[in-house]
Amino acid sequence: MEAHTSFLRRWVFSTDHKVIGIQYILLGLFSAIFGTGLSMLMRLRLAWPDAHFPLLEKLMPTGFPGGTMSPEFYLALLTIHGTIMVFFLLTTVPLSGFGNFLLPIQIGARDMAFPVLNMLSFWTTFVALLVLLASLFVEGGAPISGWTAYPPLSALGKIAGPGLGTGQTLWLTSIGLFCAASLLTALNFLTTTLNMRAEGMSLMRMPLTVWAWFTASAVALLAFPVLLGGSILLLLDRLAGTSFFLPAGIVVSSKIITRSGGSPILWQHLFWFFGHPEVYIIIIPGMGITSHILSTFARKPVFAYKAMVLAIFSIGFIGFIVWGHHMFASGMSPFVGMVFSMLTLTVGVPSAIKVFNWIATLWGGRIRPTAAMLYSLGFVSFFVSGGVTGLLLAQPAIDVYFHDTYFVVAHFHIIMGLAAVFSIFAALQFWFPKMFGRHMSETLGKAHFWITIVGVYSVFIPMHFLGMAGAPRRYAQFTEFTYLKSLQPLAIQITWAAFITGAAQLILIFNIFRSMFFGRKATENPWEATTLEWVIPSPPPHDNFGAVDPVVHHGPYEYSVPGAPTDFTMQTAPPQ
Amino acid sequence: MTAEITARNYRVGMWLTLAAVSMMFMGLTSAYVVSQGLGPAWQQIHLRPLVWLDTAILLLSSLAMEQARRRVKAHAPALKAVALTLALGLLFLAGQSGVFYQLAQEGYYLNTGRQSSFYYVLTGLHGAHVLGGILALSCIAARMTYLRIEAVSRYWHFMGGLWLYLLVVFFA
Repeated sequence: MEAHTSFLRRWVFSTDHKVIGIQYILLGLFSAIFGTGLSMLMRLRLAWPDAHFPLLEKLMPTGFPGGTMSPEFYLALLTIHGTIMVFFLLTTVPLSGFGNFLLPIQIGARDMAFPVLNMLSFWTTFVALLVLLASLFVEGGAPISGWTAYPPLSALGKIAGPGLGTGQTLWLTSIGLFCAASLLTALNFLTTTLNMRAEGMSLMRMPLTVWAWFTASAVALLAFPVLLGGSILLLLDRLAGTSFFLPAGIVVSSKIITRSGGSPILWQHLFWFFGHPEVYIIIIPGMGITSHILSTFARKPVFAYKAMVLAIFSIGFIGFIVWGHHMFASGMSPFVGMVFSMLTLTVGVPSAIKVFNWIATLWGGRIRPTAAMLYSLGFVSFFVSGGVTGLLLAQPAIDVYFHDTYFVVAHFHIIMGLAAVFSIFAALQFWFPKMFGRHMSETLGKAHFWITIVGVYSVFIPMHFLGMAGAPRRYAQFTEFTYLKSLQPLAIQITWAAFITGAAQLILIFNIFRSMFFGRKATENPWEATTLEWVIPSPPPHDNFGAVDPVVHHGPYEYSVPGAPTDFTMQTAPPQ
Repeated sequence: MTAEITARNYRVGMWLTLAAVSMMFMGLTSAYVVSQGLGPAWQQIHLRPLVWLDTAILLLSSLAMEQARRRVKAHAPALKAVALTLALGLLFLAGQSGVFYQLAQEGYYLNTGRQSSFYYVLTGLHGAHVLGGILALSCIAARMTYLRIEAVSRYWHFMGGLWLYLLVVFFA
C-alpha cells in the first residue's frame, strides 16, 4: 500500500483511517468548544435574566436586543447546543474518531474495509456541520425546537416562531446528511471487524474497545435509517404541504392551520426509535474505552471479559425496545407504559454487571493513578450517578412529574454528556502518544480532571433539586414564578460553577496543542499495555504493521500472568 | 488485502447495506400502518392496472439481472443481459412515473391525504433506490468483475422483494 504524497491526498482527502480518525477528533474539538460556548451564554441568561450586556449586543444584535438576551435566542442556543453536542461531539468522537484511528490497528488490519467510503463519510459529516452552523446566519436564525424538533411547531414554518423557517429546514438537512455519513461509518466498522482481523485474532480475543465500537456500529446501522425516514417526512410536511405529523384544528399565532390527518406522536415514535439507541451509540464506546484503560492501569485482566461482551451486546439490543419511556408524558395506554417501564428497568441489569466488573477489575490491582486512569474512574462515577436517576425516570408515575424539569436535564447531562466526555478525555490522554508520538502532560491532565469533575458535579447535582422543585426545562427565565423565586441563588451558583468549569477546559486545549509540539516523546509502548496498537511505532506508519502481518497468540488483557517475564503479555508474544 | 478478504467485504458490506435500507422502510411502513388508525379522511387509493404491469417489468428485470450474473460467473459476454436489465429498470421507473401521473390526473397529489402522501413517499423512495441500482450497474458495466455484479444483483433482487412488500402493505 503506497502512501499518497501530495498534501491534499495525504492530510485533507485522505483515505487513511488514522488521518480520518484525527479529522473526526478535530471536528469534535471544534464542536465541543462551540457547543460549550453556547451553554455559557445560556447560563448567563438563566442566572441574570434582566442584566444588560452592551458588548454582547454589539456582537449579536438580533440575539440581544437592548443588551438582554431574547427568550427566542435562548431557545435557538439550546437547539444548536443540543444538536452539536449530541451529533457532532458525542457521536462523532468516541465512535468515528477513536474508532477510526484504533479499530483497524487493534484487530491487526492495515485499513478499513472501504477506505473511500470512510473518507466520504467524514466529509459528509463536515458538510452536515456547516449546514447546521449556516442555520445561525439565515433570516430568523437557528430553530427553537430543540434537538428533538417535535412537530407540530417544527413542521409549520416561520409562522410558528423565529428560526422555524429556513433555520429548521437547514437543521433537518444537516441531520439527514449526518445520518447518511453515520451509516457509511457503521458499515465500514462492522465489515472491517468481521472480515479483516489478523491471524489468531478470534472474536473473544478482541479488545473490549473493538467489541464496543462493533456493537455501537450495529446499533447505528439499524437506528439511523429510521431517523432518516422520519426526517424526510418532516421535511415534506414543511416543504410539500403534507400532513404526516399535523393533526386537524391547530391554531398557531392566531391563525388556523388547515392541514389535518397526521399525528405529532408519530414523529416522537420515529424519533425516539432512533433517539434511544442513539444514546447507547454514544455511551457504548465509552464503556469499551473505560474497560480497556482500567485494566491497563490496574495491571489486571478485565474481570469477567465474556460477561462484559454480553453486557455490551444486551445493552445495545435492549436499546431498541425502550423508546417509549421518552413519551410517558405524551400520553400512552397505562399497559404500554408499564411494558416500556419494565423493559427500561432491565437495562439496569447489564449496566450493573458492567459497574460491578469495573470495580472487580480494580480490586486488588496495582493501580497506576495516571490522568487517563482518573478520567476513566470519572466515567464510572458518572455512569453510576447518572444511571440511578435513570431508574427513577423509567417509572411512568415519577416521570410524568419529572419529565419536563431540570431533573431530566441533570440526568442526561451526567449519563450521556459527562460520562461520554470523560471517556473522550481518557482516550485522548491514553492514545495521544500513539497518535502524535508525544505524551500529553500528566500534571495538566490531573489538574484538569480534578477541576472538571468537581465543577461538573457542582453544576449538575443542584439541577436535580431544581427539577424536584418543579423548575421546567427549556424556559429562558424562572424569576417570574413565585414558587421558583427562592431557587434563583441556586441558578446563580450553577452558573458560576459552569463558568469555572468552562474556563478549566482551556487547560485541556492548552495541553493538547502544547503536547503536539513540545510533549515528552513517546516510545512504542509507554503504558506497558498489551494490545496490537502498542506493537507498532508511535505514530504508526501509513500501513500500520510494515512488512509483516501481526499474528495474535494471546487474549487482550493478559496482565500480571503468573510466571510471565513482565507483568504484561503482548497479544503478539509467542505462546508459552 | 487478499482477494478472499475483498470478496467477503463485498458480500458483508452489501448485506449490511440491505439491513440499513430495510430499517428505513420498516420505519416508514410502520408509520403508514399506524396512521391508518388516525382520525378521519382516509382515502383509499385503488390499485391501477399499470401497477401490475410495472411489477411484472421489475420481476423480469430481476430475471435479466440473474442471467447477467450467471454469464459473468461463467466468463461469458454479459453486456446484452446487463443492457436488458438496465432497460427494464428504466422502464420500471417510467411506469412508476406513469402511475404518479394517473394519480395526479385523478386528483391524488402528494399532499391530498395520508394514503396518497405515503404512497408517493414510499414508492418514490423505492424508485430512488432502484435508480441507485441502475447507476451502480452502469458504473460497473465497463469494468465488470463477478464480485461487483454479485453485489449489485443482490441489491437488485432485494429491490424486487421490497416492491412486493410495499404492494402488500398498500393494497392487501
